[in-house]
This record gives sequence, structure tokens and C-alpha cells, in this order.
Amino acid sequence: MNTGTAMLASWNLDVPSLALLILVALIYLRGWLRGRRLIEFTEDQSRLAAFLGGLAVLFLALDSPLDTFDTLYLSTHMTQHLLLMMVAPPLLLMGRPMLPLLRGLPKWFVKEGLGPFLAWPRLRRVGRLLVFPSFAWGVYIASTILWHLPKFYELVLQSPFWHGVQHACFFWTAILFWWPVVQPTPGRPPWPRWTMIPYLLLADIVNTALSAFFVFSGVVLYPNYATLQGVSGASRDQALAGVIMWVPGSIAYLIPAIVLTFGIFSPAGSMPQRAIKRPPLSPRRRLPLPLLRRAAQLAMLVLAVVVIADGFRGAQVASLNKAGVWPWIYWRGLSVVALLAVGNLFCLACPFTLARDLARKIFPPRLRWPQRLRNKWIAAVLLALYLWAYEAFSLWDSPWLTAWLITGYFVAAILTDTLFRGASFCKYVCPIGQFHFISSLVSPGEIRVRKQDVCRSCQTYDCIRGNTHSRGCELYLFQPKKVGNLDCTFCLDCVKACPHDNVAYLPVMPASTLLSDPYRSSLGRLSKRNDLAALVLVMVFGAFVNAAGMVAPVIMWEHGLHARFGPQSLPWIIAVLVFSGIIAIPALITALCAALNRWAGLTIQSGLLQSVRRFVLSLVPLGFAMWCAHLLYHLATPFGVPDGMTGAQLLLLDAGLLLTLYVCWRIAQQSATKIHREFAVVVPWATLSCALYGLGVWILMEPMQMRGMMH
Amino acid sequence: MNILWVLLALAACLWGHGGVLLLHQQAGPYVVSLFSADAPLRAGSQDFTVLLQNAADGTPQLDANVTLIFRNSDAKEQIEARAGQSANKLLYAASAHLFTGVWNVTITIHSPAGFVATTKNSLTILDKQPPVAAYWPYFALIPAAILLFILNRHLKNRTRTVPH
Repeated sequence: MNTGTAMLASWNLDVPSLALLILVALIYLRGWLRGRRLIEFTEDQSRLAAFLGGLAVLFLALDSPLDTFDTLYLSTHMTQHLLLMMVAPPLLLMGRPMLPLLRGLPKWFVKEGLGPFLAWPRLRRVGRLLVFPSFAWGVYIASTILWHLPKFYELVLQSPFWHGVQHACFFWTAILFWWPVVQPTPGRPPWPRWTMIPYLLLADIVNTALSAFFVFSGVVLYPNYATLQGVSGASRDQALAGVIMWVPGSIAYLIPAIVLTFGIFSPAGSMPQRAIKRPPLSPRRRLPLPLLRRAAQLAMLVLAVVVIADGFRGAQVASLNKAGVWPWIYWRGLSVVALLAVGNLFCLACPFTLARDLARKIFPPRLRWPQRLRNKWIAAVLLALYLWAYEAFSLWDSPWLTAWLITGYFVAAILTDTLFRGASFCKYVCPIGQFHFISSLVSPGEIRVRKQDVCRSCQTYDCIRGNTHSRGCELYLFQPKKVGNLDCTFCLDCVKACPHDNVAYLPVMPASTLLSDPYRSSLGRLSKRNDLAALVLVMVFGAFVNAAGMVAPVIMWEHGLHARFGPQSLPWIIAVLVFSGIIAIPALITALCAALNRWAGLTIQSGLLQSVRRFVLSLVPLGFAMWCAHLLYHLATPFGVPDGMTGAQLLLLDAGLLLTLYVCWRIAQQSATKIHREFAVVVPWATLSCALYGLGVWILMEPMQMRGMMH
Repeated sequence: MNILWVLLALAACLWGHGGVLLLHQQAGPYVVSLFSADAPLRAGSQDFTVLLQNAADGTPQLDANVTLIFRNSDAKEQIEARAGQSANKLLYAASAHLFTGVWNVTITIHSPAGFVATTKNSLTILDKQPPVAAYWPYFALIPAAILLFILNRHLKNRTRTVPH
């Protein structure tokens, strides 16, 4: 590779910044498309182009070779600063991003989260001051001069932290500076429009003086560059940097000044923009969802068969066997990614239900699931047993056992559902399904009705009864009364069955269905379900126990106990640790929290259990966050654990804790005996949540055993 | 006005940079510069990069074999730095696992013509930061979010109580 090719190939792709830029672009695009459905302005497309162009320039400044070489060459660094200060900010502002960005964000977030801040008069006053022309101009010029002083510039070249601060200062102050020039919001500007011409020209004078100093000073201003390039090389580089600052920099000020001048003297400049009414939208196009579901199930069935075959007949080394890698590394990781981003996609693509559907064609079920077993106890026990077996038999490490487990799953699903009607296996038995049901309470989407009014006038109830086109819900979820994702397999039967096209996958605020306790179709009130509370506790505490089983101090502790109690004791030690971790300790701690509330006479709940049942649901986000942090680590392992992995895991835990605390607080509001007592009610549960968070942080900080990948 | 706050949030992506000069010496016909991704250097895995320039005209050299040898009183670690492995394709990159203490680093360059050049320097590796110090922004996020939430509720309640 020659030097030129090497330089052009030196892209410094920073994943977090790239992800943020893409996210902002998507939010803007979503809002822009939504806006166009209502009304279209003639300037719409140029605004979109300007905003996306601004983001592209930011990408170029931050991730291209300009960024890679900025500590080696002053001229490169200067070009980067030019893009950050004079190109990206005006383009972004020309995109008039307020409405598109607000429209693109979830409504609940804008209304509940941002709304009070956006309407806060004090904040608005601060904002007005920041973009007041004299203030914005002063801050921008001060920042430009200050950061070019040798003392500060050398600090930037020596410290990545201060380098970031410098870039942030340049970008922020440039946003403020360009604000009065671009005027991205409607309303009367604080100064007449013509004043922007001297505003820009004065900035150009400062820019010219600074760049002339670079070109003509005759001394190397920044010794760090001289160290690498030698004095003569650094002098040439500095002069080039000065020219870049001078010529393109001046153009960046002069062009808008000229445009403004023409605008002021041209009568066309005062013409109002015209709005074009959009024709009515065409009817919603329906995707062949059931067909897509069948295709996904078929693909998963093929993968399951391959895993079983390799598990039985392949090399019995987990990292070399599909049964050791596919289910434990990829399937689990991708399932939580799907839950986090969309919803319960695993149940949608479940291969077991495809097998049982085929079996039902030969053996149609005749029995009804026994009344006494219509609860989650079997599933909770099976989930607890699975968590124990995972540790006791090192399931991740045994392709043979994994193959048996999946085969057993197929047999159980087929046997249960060829005997009993409905989706009895999914609803009452399947521990994987229950894990997904509980976790999907935190998902950002839900299958639900679009308009309740349409359902009120419905006489046929096809969503639950079915019709000639589709069967109704096999889990007995009546859509108008369905709240949240609990027990929903995302099978889309109700979507297909609804003759009014009134059932769809719609976005919801994560965990919003945990905030209240309404009657839920086929589930009743969650606060009256001991079985559900037990299931939630197993799922939440299981996240921490399962992850703790991988870290060195816990493994050493297990080995210590093993050595102390003898060679046959390991399965018993694991059983005691796992079952106390997921059953005994959670039961005791949550009972203690509820007892503290009752003892202080703080909650309206009459019994201890009722209080536990209501509050344990608030722990779901934290438990799910721990599962995500753990399983995403495994998912990343085959590709080499990325640098920011621990940070990403901590962010997930942070989000889980904050959501848990929020849900807890909302439940406390409904449970407190008196107004303003909710904080006292929250204390024991918030303490428990913070303790779990601390435990999660400790686990993530310890070195993890990369199960299934390295031995 | 609110747009300003939205745009200011964008600036968060302007963080994250790397490359601090640790050593700059002439070795035979080359000028050798050693960079580290972090400053100061701390115990654990550290990424190093080497820029090799022709001493006569300053042009980067991409066809040499570069070896980094880290030595202290108890240990020695020898790593081959490879070209094209870092974001900056002009640099030779290597990763070394170093513990706390003073280390001597020797950079040996084997040119394609068979010439060998060597340069040395010492590096001080500080103790690993405790997790709280290393990841403080992630922990600070929680009290910050709680404070914002309290402010949010306060503003919302105030809006409700103010008569229109």
C-alpha cells in the first residue's frame, strides 16, 4: 500500500458517533415523512437535503481521514474545524429540524419527557439569550480565538479529552453563531435582517486576521506538529492551514452575506411560502404477514433440525458444534435484541408451534387444558429448573444435552398441543415463551387495536373466535381487553382475522403497561396472580444468578465449597445456590419490602402478598436489562468483544434501573395511603432495585467466562 | 428555540479521539514516533501505534518490520506491530498487556533492505483505575436522570396549578 492509498483508507469509524448520526437522521426522516402526510411545503425537499447534508458533513469531519490525521497535520485539523464550524451547523439549521425531530420522536416521549422542559419559560429565556446575535457572535469569536492560543491548542494535541472539548465548543458555538443568520424558527428575529450582513463581515475580519497570523507569523505556533514534521515541514503545514482558514473560511461568511443582500433587495424574498394540500392517502397496504411468519418458522425449524443433528452426531466440543454455538450464543442474543428493538419475535418464528401445527393436522386435539393448571406455576417451576440445569449440567458445554433438550421441547410441544386445544403449551408450559412474555413487557411495540370505537361496534369478535380466513387467538386474548404483551406470541392471527383492519403492531412506551393494573383479557388483574409474581421473580433474579455463575469470584467460591464438602457435593451446592438465588432470597427480600411498607402503614394493599404481587412487576425492566447485558456480551464474543462493550452493558443496566424506579414510583402513587407518601412507599423497593443494580455492575466488571466459545 | 437544545445534544458525538505522542526519536535512517491511544497509560491492555518516517524527507515508511519490546525488572513482552491495523493506515499498530510500574520500550525496525535500527525509551504505567473512576459517566447518568425527572415533575405540576 502506498502512502496516498494508506491515507485515503485511514477512516476512523467511531461506532457510537456513527450510530448517533444515523439515529438522528432516521428520527428526522420519520418526522419529515409524517409532516408531509399532513401538508407539504415547496421547500420540504431542500430542507431534508440540507439536514442530511449537515449530518453527512459531520460524519466526514468526525470519521474520515481528516479526523485520523488531525494530530499529525495542522492543515488537516483546520479543514476538520472548518467543516465543524462553517459547513455542518448552517446546513443543519437550514433543515429547520425542530418540527421534524419532534414529530419523529415517540409521542409519549415528546409529551411527557420533553414537553415540560420545552414549555419552561426560564429555559426558553436562556435559549433566547444564547442565540441573541451579540451574545452568539461574542461566544463564537471567543471560542475560535481561545482554542487557537498555543497553550490550549497544545493541550488538545496531548489529551483526547480536551480534544473532544475543543470540537464540542467549536460545534456548539457555531450553532449559536449561525442561528440568527439562518433563522430556523418562525417568528420575528431580535435584530433586523440587514444587521446580519455586518454580523458576518465582522466575523470574517476576525477570521482573516487569525488566518493571516498563521500564514505570516514566521514561527511555528504549535511545537507538537514541529516534533513530527520538523520545523520547516510544520511551517509549510501551518501556512497551508492559514490559507484554508482564510480562503474557504471567508467564502463561508461571504456567500451568506451576499445571499442576504440579494434577499433584502429582492421583492421575491418577501413572498410567503406556499403550502400544497396533499391528496388523501391511499388505503394501507397490507404485508402478507402470516406467510412471512410461516417462512420464519420454517427457517427456524430447519436450523433446529441442523442443531439437533450436529448435537447428536457432531464433535462434542461446544465451540465447534452448532448445538454449542447457535442456541446459546446467537439465538439467545438475537432474541433479546429483538425484544429490545421490536417485541416477541422468537415466539413469532417459533419452530415448535410449526411442528405442533403439522401434528395437529393428523391428531386434532379434543381435550381442554385442566382448570386447575390454568396458571403459570408449571412454567415458573420449569424456568427455575432450567436455570438450575444450565449450571448443574453445563448445558452450554454439552452439544449432546442441548440436542436432547431441543428434541424434548419438540416432543413436549407436540404432545401437549395434540391433546389439548388452544395454545396450551405456549400459555401454560413453555418456559422460553414465559421468559419472552415477561421480557416483552419492556418492548417498544405491541399487537393491539388501533381504535377502541371500531371494536365497540364489532359484533363478530373474529380476533378471538376466528373466521374462515384465520383462526382466532389461541391464547384467548380478546383484543379490546388486551393490555400489554403478556401471553402474546405475536402469531398475528388476530391481525389477519380482524375484518376491520383494526389490529396492528403499534409502538408503545416500554413498560407502560406495568404502570397500572387494569383487568387484562385472559389474565385478570396481575396484582391478583401469585403465579405471575413467582414467574417474574424467577426471571428477574435468574438474570443475576445466571450471569453471576460466569464470573471468576463466584466460580472460585463454588470450587471452594466443592473442595470443602467433597467430590459428590457439586450438584447439591449448585442446587442450593441457584434455588436460593432465584426463589428463597427473592421471596424473603420482597416480603421484607412489602412488610416494611405495611408496618409503616403506607400502602393501601390489604395483604403482604398483594403488595408483593403489585410491586415485583416493577423489577421486570431491571431483570430484562441484566439478561440483555449478559446475552449481548455472548453475542459479541465471536466477533471479538468491542471496546465499548462494558459501557454499553452499563447503559443497558442504567436504562433498566431508571425504568424500574419510574414504574415503582408510579405504582407507589397508586398504592400510597396518603398523597405525598409515595416517596416513603418507594424507598424499600428502590433500595432493592439499586442493590440489584449494584450486583449487576459488580458482575459486569468481573472477567467473564466465555461459555461455549473458549476453553 | 427548543430546536437549540435538540441540536446541542448532537454535539455529544463530537467526543472520542485518540493518539498521544509518547516518543519521537531518530533511529538510523528513520524518525520513529510512538503513540498511545490513552493518556496517561494505565495497567491493562494498551494500544500503541508507531509512525515510521524517512529521516531525510519525512515520508512515511510502510514496508518495514517493526517490533516493540516492553521490559521491566520482572517481565518482558515482545510484540510485532503491523501496518494497516489501526484507523491510521500510515501507522504500525500493536496491543500490549502491561502492569503497573516503569517499563523500558525498545522499538526495533527491520527495513526491507536488511537494515536494523533501534530506539529506546521508558514508560510509566499507572495503576488501573477503579471501576467507578473509569466508568463514572455511566454511573452519573442515573442521578442526572433522576434530577431531570424531578424537574420534569415539578414543571408539570406547576403548569397544572397555574390558572389559565
